[in-house]
Amino acid sequence: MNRRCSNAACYADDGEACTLGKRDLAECTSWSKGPSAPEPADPMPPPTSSRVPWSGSALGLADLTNLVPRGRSILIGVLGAHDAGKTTLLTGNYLQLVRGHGLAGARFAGSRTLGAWESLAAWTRFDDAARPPSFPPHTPRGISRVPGLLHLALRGQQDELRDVLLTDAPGEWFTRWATKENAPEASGARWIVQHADAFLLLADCQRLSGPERGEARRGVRELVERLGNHVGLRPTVLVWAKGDQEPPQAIRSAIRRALAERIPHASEVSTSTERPESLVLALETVLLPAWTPPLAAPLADPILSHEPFAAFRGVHARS
Amino acid sequence: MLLGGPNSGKTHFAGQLYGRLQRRPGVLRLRSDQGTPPDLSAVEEVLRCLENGHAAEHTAANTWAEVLLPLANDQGNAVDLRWPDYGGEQLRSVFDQRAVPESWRSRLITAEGWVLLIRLKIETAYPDALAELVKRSDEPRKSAVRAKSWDANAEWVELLQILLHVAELGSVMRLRRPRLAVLLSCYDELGADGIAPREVFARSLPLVSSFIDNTWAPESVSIWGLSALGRLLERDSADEQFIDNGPEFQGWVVPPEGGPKDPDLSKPLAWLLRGW
Repeated sequence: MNRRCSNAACYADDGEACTLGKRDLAECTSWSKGPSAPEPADPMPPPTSSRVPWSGSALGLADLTNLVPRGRSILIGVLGAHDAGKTTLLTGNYLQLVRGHGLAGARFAGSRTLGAWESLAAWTRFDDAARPPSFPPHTPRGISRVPGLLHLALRGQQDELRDVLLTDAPGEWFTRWATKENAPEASGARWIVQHADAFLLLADCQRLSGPERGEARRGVRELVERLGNHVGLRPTVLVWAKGDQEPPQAIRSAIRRALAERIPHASEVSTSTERPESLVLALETVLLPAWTPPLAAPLADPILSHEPFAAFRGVHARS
Repeated sequence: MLLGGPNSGKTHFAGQLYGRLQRRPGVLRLRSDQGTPPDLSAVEEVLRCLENGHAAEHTAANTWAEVLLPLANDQGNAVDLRWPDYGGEQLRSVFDQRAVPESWRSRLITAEGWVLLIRLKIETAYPDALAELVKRSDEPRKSAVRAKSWDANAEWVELLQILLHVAELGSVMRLRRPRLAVLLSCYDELGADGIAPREVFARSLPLVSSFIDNTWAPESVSIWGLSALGRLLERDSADEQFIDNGPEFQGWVVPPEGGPKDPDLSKPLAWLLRGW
């Protein structure tokens, strides 16, 4: 198809369903308004077929508009420096689901991003002796500022459906954001921090115990301190990734101190690919408190005056 | 609505089912008031092959044929069953092109029950690689090529999601309609005697099993073991038992909770139709 839809949020020309739900694209007004290709249409238009509004790859912001309205969703920000193991954490969780394990007491009930999950998992699979399985490579820092979101639908014990969205973003975003909050390259990180319901913060034990440990400590601490400004009461978990390596005690306690100061409610988990269940545990630790969000605190208007007539005029009257 | 990929045994099941209904009725039987169904061309070929004791040819990819079977169940209720037969590649192309033809869509929407035929033996599921990975993590990364095909788990889930979406069914609430019968075809290949089909399914395709369990209401799903022929037939074989006794004495199903082999191939359909 050479035509573009005039609706910028519609991806019908990429082979997805029309955003407005028209099955025959000719019926859609924004499609017909779209610029059409210079060459004449095919002599034999393909028979009408129904398509789906997702492509299977990681979700962008435009895709959220047709997923999120169906129910309660949980966005989990996975933060960490470059090569800290964010993608490995996600892949490990997917592989455990494929083996039929549950997650946080809930069971798998679908996913809009199976293509993305599969392409991550494909790195770890072994189908040819010449190609040894490996950990997923680096997530590239693309031109797009929107992080790729991976989706899982989970059904909990009370039969409730939750759409869990996990960010799969390059580590450079967060490193940049920790250094300079308003950096243009960090707008993706800002989006995540503003919208996420819970955070996983990864600290790379391998780097923290290696020759660059001073630098790595600075990176983690800066990230903790920066996140501390924004996190509020949202659940946060510090993940000691690659936990088979043991960083020096002083470094560990320095990071713990920063964490206790800036994000006192955070908890800690240690993960290692030698224990796949530890990767699941890390995600569960953050998913469980976010599963049922706390009720909003009721607004309380302070009583400003003790005269009965004016008692409830409230704060707004002051200006 | 019958859903099954290439080589999953749709045609054999259809042929054997017809043979059963006509000559050795079980829970479901053909209504006698209308005589033999008017159009048998869809199953004619397979019936002929089975009577001679060999396997039927592969159904051509673009075929779509339907047999209309007037049935009655054991309570005497009359039901007209439309049983489709088609080349399994059509289902594969739904997955590849992420589009469902209009003819399928209208059938999916009107169908009261879906039958999913899965031949576990030919599905590619990758073993859990993470444990393996740790052992190898020291080896240098040799190339950036990776496994091309999807895991069968993800493939079936994606296919079901596409079909559900196109059939205008949401999965926020558990589904009660259409009822879903999963038939694990060529069950004799699996060597899974004594294990309930539900277990076998959860063990072989855990993600699909979990998806189905959590999308449909429990009373609207059942998982059966099916061996339409009871044994492996080749295209050029001439199995004596088939020729002498007739194909209607071959083949069996295993009910969801396990148990002995049941020669009544219409049981899964009877279960599907019980909702009325």
